[in-house]
Amino acid sequence: MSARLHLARAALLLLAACAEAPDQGAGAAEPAPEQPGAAPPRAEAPGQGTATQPEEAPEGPRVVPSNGDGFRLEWSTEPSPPPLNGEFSVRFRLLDAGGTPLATDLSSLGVDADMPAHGHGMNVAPKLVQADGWVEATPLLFHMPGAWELYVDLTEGPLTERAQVPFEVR
Amino acid sequence: MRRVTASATLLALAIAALAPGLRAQSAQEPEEPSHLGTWTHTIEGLEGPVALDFGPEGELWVAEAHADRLRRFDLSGEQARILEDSSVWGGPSGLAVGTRLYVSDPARRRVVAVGRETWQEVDVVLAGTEELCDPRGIAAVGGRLAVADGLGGVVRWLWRDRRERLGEGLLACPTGVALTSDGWLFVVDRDRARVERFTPEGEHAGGFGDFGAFPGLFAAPQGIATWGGRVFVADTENHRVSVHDTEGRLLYTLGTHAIRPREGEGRLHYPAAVAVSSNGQRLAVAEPLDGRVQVFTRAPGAEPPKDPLRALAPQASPHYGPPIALDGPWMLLVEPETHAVLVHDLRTLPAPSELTAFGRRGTNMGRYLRPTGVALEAASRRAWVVDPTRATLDEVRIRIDPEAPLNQHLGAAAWVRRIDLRAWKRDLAGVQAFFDPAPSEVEWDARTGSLWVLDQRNRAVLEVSPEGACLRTLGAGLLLRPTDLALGSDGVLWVVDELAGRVVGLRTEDGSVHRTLGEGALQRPAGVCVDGAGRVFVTDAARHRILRFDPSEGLDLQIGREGLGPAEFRGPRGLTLDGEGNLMVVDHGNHRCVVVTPDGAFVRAFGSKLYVRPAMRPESNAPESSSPEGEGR
Repeated sequence: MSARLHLARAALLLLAACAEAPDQGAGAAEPAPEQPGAAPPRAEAPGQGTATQPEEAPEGPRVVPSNGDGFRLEWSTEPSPPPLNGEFSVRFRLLDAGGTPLATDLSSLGVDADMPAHGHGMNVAPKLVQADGWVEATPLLFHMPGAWELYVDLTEGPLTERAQVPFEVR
Repeated sequence: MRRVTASATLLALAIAALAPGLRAQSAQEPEEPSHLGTWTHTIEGLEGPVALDFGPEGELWVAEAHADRLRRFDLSGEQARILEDSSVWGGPSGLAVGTRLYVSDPARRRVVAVGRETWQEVDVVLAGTEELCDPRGIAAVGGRLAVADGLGGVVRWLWRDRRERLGEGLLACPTGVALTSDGWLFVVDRDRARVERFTPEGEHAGGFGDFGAFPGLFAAPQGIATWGGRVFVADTENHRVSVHDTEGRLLYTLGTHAIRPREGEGRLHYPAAVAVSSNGQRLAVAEPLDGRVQVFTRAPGAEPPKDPLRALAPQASPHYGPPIALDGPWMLLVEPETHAVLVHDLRTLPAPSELTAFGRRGTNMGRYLRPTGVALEAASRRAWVVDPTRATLDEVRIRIDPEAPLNQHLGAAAWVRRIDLRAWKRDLAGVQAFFDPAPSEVEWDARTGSLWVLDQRNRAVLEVSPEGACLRTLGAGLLLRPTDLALGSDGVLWVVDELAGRVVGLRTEDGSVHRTLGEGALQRPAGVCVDGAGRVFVTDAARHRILRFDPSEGLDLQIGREGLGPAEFRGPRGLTLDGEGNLMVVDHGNHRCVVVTPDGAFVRAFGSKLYVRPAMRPESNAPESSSPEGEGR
């Protein structure tokens, strides 16, 4: 009997705590996953100089450095931001440190996306098409809400390096 | 006086002489539905039984990798003969019984054939780096001989005048083969979690299986046998035997996970090999970690009855290992069941907190088929992972400030780059390389920024620059199966050689041998670390203990014994030192990590509650009284 009372009290406290929790705002974009004290988010908008959530950034291509700083990825999506459970495409090109476009062969590129917290990726495999120095990958599909990461991998000889862009999909 | 010959003529005669019916499968199914699945007895006290086969008289032959021997048992499980000679087979990893015994000798990269009675006369059937890289399972039926070449990624297939390599480009790490009486070949590919079929003419004819835990899926399957239109697969990390028809349809599974130590009578723990007697009345399963073979017989019904109590028990907790790396507040461990690399924070001891995980199983970039080695440098927030099956070395950035307050962040690991070591084939500095490298462990060298990478295929240590170039190799010609390495502050690189049963110290400045340790004392060394005083610690997975070697005194301490209690181990593997100088041991067979002082005093354990409690509270948790129900990780 005593245990039941304790259980009921705990449940009431939990409900009260939930009621006092601040409203996160339904439908609002959550901040990108960020660790206290972590390295700054890698996404940056040209001319803005500050990291932003991709879907909150200004329209037009944005640039992120690759994870090993070997190249830079200039990218945009269509539509923007990517819809939940709707196909979209990503258009991108690779730049060197000075911003000059790199000549890349499609066979050296890979595009994928993943949900790190869930340990799975997309259930579609995008095809790559090159035109006017840009590469378009389509279709991509974020089939469930949550934190996604878009990957662009560049292979040169034995080395493959990755650039990645975080998305919070709602 | 043994006579070792390499006569191809003799080989052809021997294979042709194999009577088609020696391991022939009866075309007659029993009239009443029955299945192989009733436990009859267990043969205990074996040392690493990794392969087995029934002989024509119903006798059972077992290869013991840890003892370099073959043993013959009669129908009741009594030992009848023992063949023991490390000069003929070093760590025998495959065995087939025909008119003669065919034995895999991975230490010398060869397969030998000996008479079942006159075993002193040895014929070398296959040998040499052009023929074999890593011989594992063998099948010999009706004049055909098949050898699974694990690290070689092919099956060597000999029939009449044909000597072919099957499955090249398809297989990742074949570990077991089985031949039907009409010549069909079934191959179990451990790292792809698949069974592949080949016609009697050697053509690939599809296969079945995928990675997973559900019935019909496999997790690191290693052994295979066929009889009567059925395929029996030793599904090692699912702790069961899966029985399929030849088209791959699952008929039933045999055995459930042995959760308590030494639990048997049909409970299985890492079954590595399976064999069926020629009359189809007996099935034997080898479990190397538990040092035993369990024998089953036929029972009425098409499949075993379900155990209602067992069905309610939770899945066993995941294992750790084999590798471990530690630096600053972080620790990396690999979870074999998921192929994920787990990042832990040690500041919450006694139980470290899992901060994030990365990798997991898959063939995409950033995923692994078999991550066997990890390294870590907390200051630069970098981790490295090697996957021998994919021949890759990955660099991963952990986007967490080690000084920041503790916080779990599942997306914190960012995959930076991958080096495909296959690009170095025949271009390894200093030695002539015959194989694509198979990186099995990695160590960060803070002095130079280089990485030291073990290459199991070429049996050497590679120095890799931060830019991904192979600078040079060490230890070529000295090592048989390198499994772990540790760098001392004096620049000596200590390399575990599992098959040779020793640890070799190599000077990094010139690659010369500084010292070898453990010969005669180590049976199956697995992990190594070295402390600031130059003392070398080595886990012995076969003898369930850690040995300590003093730089001047040599072997000066043995830590632990087999068991579940404090400072007891079961198949200990990876080993490292924490910031306080204590040893952190991946106690693989016990699903936990154990921390002991350098003098062997137990400090703590963490991991699965079921296995941690007997160490932390031994007085209230005798292993025999532990209940699997309600326990989880």
